[in-house]
Amino acid sequence: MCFPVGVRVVSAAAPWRLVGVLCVALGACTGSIDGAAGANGAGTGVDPCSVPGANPSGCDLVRSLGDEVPAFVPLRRLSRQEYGIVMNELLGAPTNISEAFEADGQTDGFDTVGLSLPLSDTHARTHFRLAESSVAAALAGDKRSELLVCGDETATCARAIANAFARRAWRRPLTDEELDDLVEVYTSLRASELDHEEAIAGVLEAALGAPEFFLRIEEDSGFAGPRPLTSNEMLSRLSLFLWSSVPDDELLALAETDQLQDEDVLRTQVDRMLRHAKGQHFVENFSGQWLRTRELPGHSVSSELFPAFNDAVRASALEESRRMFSDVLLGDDPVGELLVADWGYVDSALAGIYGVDGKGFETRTTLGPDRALGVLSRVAFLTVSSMFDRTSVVRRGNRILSDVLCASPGPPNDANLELPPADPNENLSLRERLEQHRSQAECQGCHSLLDPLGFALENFDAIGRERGTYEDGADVVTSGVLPGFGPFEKGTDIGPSIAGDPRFQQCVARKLLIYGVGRNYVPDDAATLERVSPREPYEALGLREVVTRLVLSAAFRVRKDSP
Amino acid sequence: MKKQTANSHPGVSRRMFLEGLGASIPLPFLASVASPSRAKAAACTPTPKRFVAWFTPNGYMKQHIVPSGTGANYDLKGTLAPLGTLGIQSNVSVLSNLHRRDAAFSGNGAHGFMTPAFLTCVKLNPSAVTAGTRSADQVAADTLACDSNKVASLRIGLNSVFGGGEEYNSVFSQAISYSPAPMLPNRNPQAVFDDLFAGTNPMATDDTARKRRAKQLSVLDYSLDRLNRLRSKLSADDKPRLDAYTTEIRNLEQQLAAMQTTPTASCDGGTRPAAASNANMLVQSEVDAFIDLQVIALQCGLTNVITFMMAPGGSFRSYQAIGVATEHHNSLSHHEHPQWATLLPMVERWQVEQWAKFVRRLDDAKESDGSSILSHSAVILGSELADGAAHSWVDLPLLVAGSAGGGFSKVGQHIPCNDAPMARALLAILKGLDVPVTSFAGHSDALSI
Repeated sequence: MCFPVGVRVVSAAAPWRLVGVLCVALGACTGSIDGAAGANGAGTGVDPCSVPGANPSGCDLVRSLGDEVPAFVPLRRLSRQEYGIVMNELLGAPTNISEAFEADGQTDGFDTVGLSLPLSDTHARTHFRLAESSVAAALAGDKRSELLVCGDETATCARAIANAFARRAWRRPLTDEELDDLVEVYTSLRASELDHEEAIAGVLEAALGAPEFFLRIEEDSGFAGPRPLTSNEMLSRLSLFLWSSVPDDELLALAETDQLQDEDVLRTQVDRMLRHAKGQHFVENFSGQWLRTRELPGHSVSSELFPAFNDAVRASALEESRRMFSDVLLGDDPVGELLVADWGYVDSALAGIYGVDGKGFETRTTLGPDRALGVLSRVAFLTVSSMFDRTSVVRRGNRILSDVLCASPGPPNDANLELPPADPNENLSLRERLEQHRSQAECQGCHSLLDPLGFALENFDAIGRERGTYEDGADVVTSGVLPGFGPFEKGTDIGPSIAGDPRFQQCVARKLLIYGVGRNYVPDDAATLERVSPREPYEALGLREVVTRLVLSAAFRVRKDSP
Repeated sequence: MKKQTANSHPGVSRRMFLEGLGASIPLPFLASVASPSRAKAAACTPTPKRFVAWFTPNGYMKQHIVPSGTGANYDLKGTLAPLGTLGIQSNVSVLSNLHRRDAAFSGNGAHGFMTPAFLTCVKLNPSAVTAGTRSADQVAADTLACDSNKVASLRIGLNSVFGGGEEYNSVFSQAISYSPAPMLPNRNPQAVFDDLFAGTNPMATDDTARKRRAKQLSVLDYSLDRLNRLRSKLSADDKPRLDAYTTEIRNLEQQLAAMQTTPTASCDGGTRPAAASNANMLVQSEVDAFIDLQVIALQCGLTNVITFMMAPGGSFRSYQAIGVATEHHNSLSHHEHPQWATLLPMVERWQVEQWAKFVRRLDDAKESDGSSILSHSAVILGSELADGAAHSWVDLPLLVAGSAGGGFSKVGQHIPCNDAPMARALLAILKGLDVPVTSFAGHSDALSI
């Protein structure tokens, strides 16, 4: 996706910066997106909606699809993040136990996409090891009474304990047969002379060892066409999407009565789940990956150049980022508030960076007109979009283009890939070098977009402090022309236009789709995005409403089994 | 309702596991319950052949690493100086002028595409998230892994923020082992230590150990049963991924089931290392911990195949610890600034030095017959790219240490390869290790090394 090209030459002195690689790293705007959908298979099964007793809510949606056919969603396991949260909730384990796993892969920045989450031997060994030690610790600790719902040393009690635990761990109710199997684990262990509690530990470990725990399972119906997700499948998708965790009794009861296909019920539950304390997992995991602020703890910052950037600043900047997202999510402002807010959360650690008196994390601090670019003008984003020792115009521009407008540059031409190194003796300014770079046809498409967006934030340094000059004394110049948005003097001139652009709201919906459904974005999803957030007529929505509409959409509620 | 488990592991029932179990110490394992994935494994000899591949990101500057002379006693340029300092030059061959054109692509993301090609040499399939073929280490593990190994292949690496491959799927910049799905490295030395050494409690009484093993077997057996039931209900595209995982859990169960009833002298894992730091800085103690773990894992027979990533492809790590206070990828490796072109060789020499320290340790580590572990091994060091500034995949160097138990004919030489495909070098290494392959990545003419 590309905007029309139009560049106004603006020159300013700037420190020497790298240009040759930028085109390689960012590519040309050819706009192609990898597709994930395979060819249609020959499903021989029966349309689940043709069976008597089929839930009408989901089937009505399927019948109204038109050309909005959802892509196949591959099996996925719990991400490392989810694993820690779930084990903490179920067993009181520290959430960081999941650091024992190998790192997760990401798709489009998100770690909830099945194909990027390998199922390895290391994962298997680590999972069983953690399950054993966590169950033992739980039965000896605070979770004991919650887990042991009865005290008799009988198979009947074992069954009750297994049921109470496994329906949460599996994110769905169990069948009688499935409970029988867990009780069989208990009885066979008792037969091996394990005592009641040792056998109970075995049952809990077995429930965790089942694929129903560590995988998000959606069974193949055998039907080639689209089908509604079952209420149980909706339960698993919802709890991982909005809580990164297991469901509560209310949600389980709704699944048991097959109500999680009803639009009114879903609307009510999405609202409840986001307002629930566990909704903060969504805030942290989605916003942290969407805006890449999750990189902040591991992002390197030169301690020589930026001694002010210490661990307290890192932690507080992340916390501010979370709170801003949470406020917009739970409040009544439109999504665009994220890009125009002049308020933030400033504690003592951040006060020095922002140069204001902070009011802490409970009260908003107004940061003034130059910071009226919402999360884009806050320490977390400004830092992770910078290099170790300097800002990067192109990196910041690319983050905004890719993550905020979903106008990611596509793959470049081969011609870009082996640019000769620039001559460092030419002593050109950054702007001059970028202009030279843009003059090459294959680089022009991207850089006419990337560069102005990046320059618009050049009044913030690599840790988010305001600046008017570079280290060498040269003036910072933020002005430019953003194709499609026109000329601007500073970032805050174009912030409201971007915040009110239908592409931004659709981009948020698209990121939610990738994160929540757990698959690549494919071109066919455009129809879904158009339903969630129409460009024409455009209506500014609240963030909670966008999340709700995404949950109600076909991409979230309908599955196509045989790819 | 299920009341039998025959389909979960042919020939061995849960009942067999649950009866007559004795005390546990997990070495060695019975060949009769060898896992399907290791069915081809040769009987483990006291001096097994081993394959270790080290990956460093962002290339090497040719002028600082490729010797000017050829053959033995090649000149040790700046980057290779540690080979001399650590006295291992006679064990290290330098292969130069190799290429990975077969993996070349039309598009963005040199690091993301070329990191998988490090050990596959073919073009990946990004939308299916597969490297398209199995990597050389996994092919090697088919033969080299023996039943008594705790892990068929150990895949580890160091933390770092990275830039390559962000556009489509960052998983590719993070993995050099492919099954052909990506097999990500564990980057937490503490977790790797636990994976290799935890699980036994030498203080446990026989009865406690027996009960624990009964429970573990029951849990694994139940898990396999659930996996088998699930399989028939999954979409065709999901089945291969589930199958791979099921095989791993079956391996775990069979390893546990095959434990001897009397304790075997176990190998000392040493001190449990600290957990990985989260920072994107070089932490020497983490590197050292990973070197220790690799030496111990090989010495103790816990594995015969290791891949180690010093950092993901396109790493942004900064190297303040060695006096290079700028980041590796965009500043250093794209060394257009004269100062960076001076600093980058410091990082590259440091990388070679770490590898050389490891090679030296393997040379000092002796087998039961007095020979060194190194002499039975092939230990390589390379990168996804040649000179990082150009993102190029031609004119690549590769360091090869060890003689693979006599499998190599030119140990300790500089071997110019005249623009040969990297696959021919990897084929030569696999053949030298007695891996019964006739071709690798479409090439059947092994280089003479």
